[in-house]
Amino acid sequence: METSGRLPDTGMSRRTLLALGTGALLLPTARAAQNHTLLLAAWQDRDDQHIGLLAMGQTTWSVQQSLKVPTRAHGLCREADGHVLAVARRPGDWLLRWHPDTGHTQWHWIDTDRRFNGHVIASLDAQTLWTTETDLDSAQGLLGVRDARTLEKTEEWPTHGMDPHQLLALPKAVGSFAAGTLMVANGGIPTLPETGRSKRELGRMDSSLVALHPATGALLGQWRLADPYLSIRHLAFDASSGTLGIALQAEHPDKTGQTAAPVLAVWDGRTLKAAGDQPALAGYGGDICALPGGGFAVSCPRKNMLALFEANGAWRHAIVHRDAYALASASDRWWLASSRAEAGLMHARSGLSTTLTLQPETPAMGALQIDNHWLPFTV
Amino acid sequence: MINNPLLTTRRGALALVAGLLTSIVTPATAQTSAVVAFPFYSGEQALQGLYQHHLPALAQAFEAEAQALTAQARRFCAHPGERADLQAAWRRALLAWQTLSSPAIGPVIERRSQRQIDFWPSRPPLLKKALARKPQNLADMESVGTPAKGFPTMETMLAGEHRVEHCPYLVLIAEGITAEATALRRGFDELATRDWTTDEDAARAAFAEWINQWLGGLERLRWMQIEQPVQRARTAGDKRAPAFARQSMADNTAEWRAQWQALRAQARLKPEQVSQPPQPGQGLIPIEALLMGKGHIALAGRWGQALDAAEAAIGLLPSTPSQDELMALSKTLKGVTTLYQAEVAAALDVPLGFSDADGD
Repeated sequence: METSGRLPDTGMSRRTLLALGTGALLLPTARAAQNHTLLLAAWQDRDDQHIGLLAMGQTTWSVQQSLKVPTRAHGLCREADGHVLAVARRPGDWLLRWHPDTGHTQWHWIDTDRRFNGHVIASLDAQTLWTTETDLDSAQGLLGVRDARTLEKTEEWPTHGMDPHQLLALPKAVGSFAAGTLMVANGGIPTLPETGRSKRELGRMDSSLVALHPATGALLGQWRLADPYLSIRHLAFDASSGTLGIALQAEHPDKTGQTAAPVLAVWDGRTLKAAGDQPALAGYGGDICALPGGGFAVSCPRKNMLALFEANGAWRHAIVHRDAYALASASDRWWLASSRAEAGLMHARSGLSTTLTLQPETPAMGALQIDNHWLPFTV
Repeated sequence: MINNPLLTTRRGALALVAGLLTSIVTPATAQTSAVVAFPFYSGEQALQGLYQHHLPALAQAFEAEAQALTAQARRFCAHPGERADLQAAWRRALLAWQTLSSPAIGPVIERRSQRQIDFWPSRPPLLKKALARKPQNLADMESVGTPAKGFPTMETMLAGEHRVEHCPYLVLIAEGITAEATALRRGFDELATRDWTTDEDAARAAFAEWINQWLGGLERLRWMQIEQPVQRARTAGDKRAPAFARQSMADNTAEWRAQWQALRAQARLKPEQVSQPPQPGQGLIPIEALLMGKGHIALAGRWGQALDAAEAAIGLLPSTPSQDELMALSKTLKGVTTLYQAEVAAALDVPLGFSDADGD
């Protein structure tokens, strides 16, 4: 049975709140008022997992607010009213709503026979949430349709593949696909509860990109790459070109195939194609963001590189960055996090190769391991 | 070409590895033992130790306990009365099952046995429907969903009011557990005769599965069975009690200990093996021995310490632990997880799927 809990309604004790939120820094969002950009992020601090807000200044960054969470968080989502959503990394069992200013939390634990796959988004009207999930009986992918108020599931739609990961609602029409169409990345890796730690039967991989109707879940389109060992995982939309960028992760059985595998594919509403002329990047795209002015950046932590592409997938160039991982962009700036707590701020206006490395405000913050994704909270 | 250096069949695999002569300090006693040389163990030898010398006996023990459970269920239904003997048989079979399936590898995965006989939590509405259909044999039971059979459902039925008309269903559940136990025993018997050196791909996959699933078994115990129920109860905000897998805390703690002991047996050298390393082809070669054989002496020492800390923590768990005590236990077990993910698996040249050290 799925269970939810909302602290303000249930009268959770202060002691319990503190126990759950040990280390929570409920500081006022003063930095935002000082024109610092706030990024919503997840990170590990020693043995503890957190979500929270990081203030990105001109030369330093710092933790502004944080909440301890029971296991590693993955996907994050900012709601229109200032709440944030976080979902556990696959195979995940919790979904959380948290208000950074009030500290209010609302937890939801998934049904025994389902697992969260790490990403959640909200509908534009804020009435619905969609979560990528796996049916543990069949290993098939599901889109959980949830009441945004209660977090309870109201429907399940098939994603027509296994291991659905990130999803995105098209912000504008692309080709024949209307704005709001749900694009879902089926990673394609077979996973079952018995094999939670072991990737089995990779020969059965079936990764695809699907377009689903946001009101009914009807399958509107499905695309596959020619190479079956490329797992379609993370998505970003380049509004200037109307192109969807997809970060790939290679699962080739041979090292040669994996090393040379592309880390980006692009979808233009008609075709899905992998980037062609990139250098060897270890076949692992960690995160992706659309670049200010067009194109995509894909982080490649296994090569300590940031790979930049044109919107059509053509290779642009690489930027060296240690443990490059989380990416976010807004207006004319974009940010890159290292999993070793190094944050790079890129000023698009002053040139894409201009990188300003921000230092952690305190040595302790330098020990944080920032997770795979972050996104602008206030810019 | 096998990439994993442990999975080599080179002639010198059995030879003592130069440079592995070292003083071994056993953390439990803090005494320095004699200088000991550990042989290099190949992956195939590790698999032979696991599948030929370790798991068949566990599979046989589970089958025997499952058969005893079925016999006891039949006796109970022939002469309904005190159910303590049947409950005791259920507990023995459950512990034998957990000992075999921690970690879940080989036939346990292939057959999806955890789902078949230990789907938790059971679903009373599904059980009610199944009872109404009055299945007559195991073929009929195949159409019954797993949440209405297996160990958890049997526990539910044994805890509730006994109704004579439900007895055939109770026996069928026990027979289903026995049928699964027999299938597993056969599967492990088959693997016991396998020559892992003849198929490098199969050996590589089986070795990686073991190393990955050992962590999966630990996390199933630490997170799914111990910490997650506590976190779930705490976040519900209504002071509810955690819903653990078994109804009595004594059964939960006994099961946790059984799982841990099974995992530990595959991970930690026995005390006598510190001075007399396991010999290939003669018995189980635990993970600590693999580390020693590869020359990771310091890591093996820290690995042993982490396992001993977990052993002590789970051994000291009171009969009715508080939530804080369970969280503390989980934290200690997490120390084993962290070391395994960060160093042990890498030292064995096995990539972990979905490791915390990886992305997603």
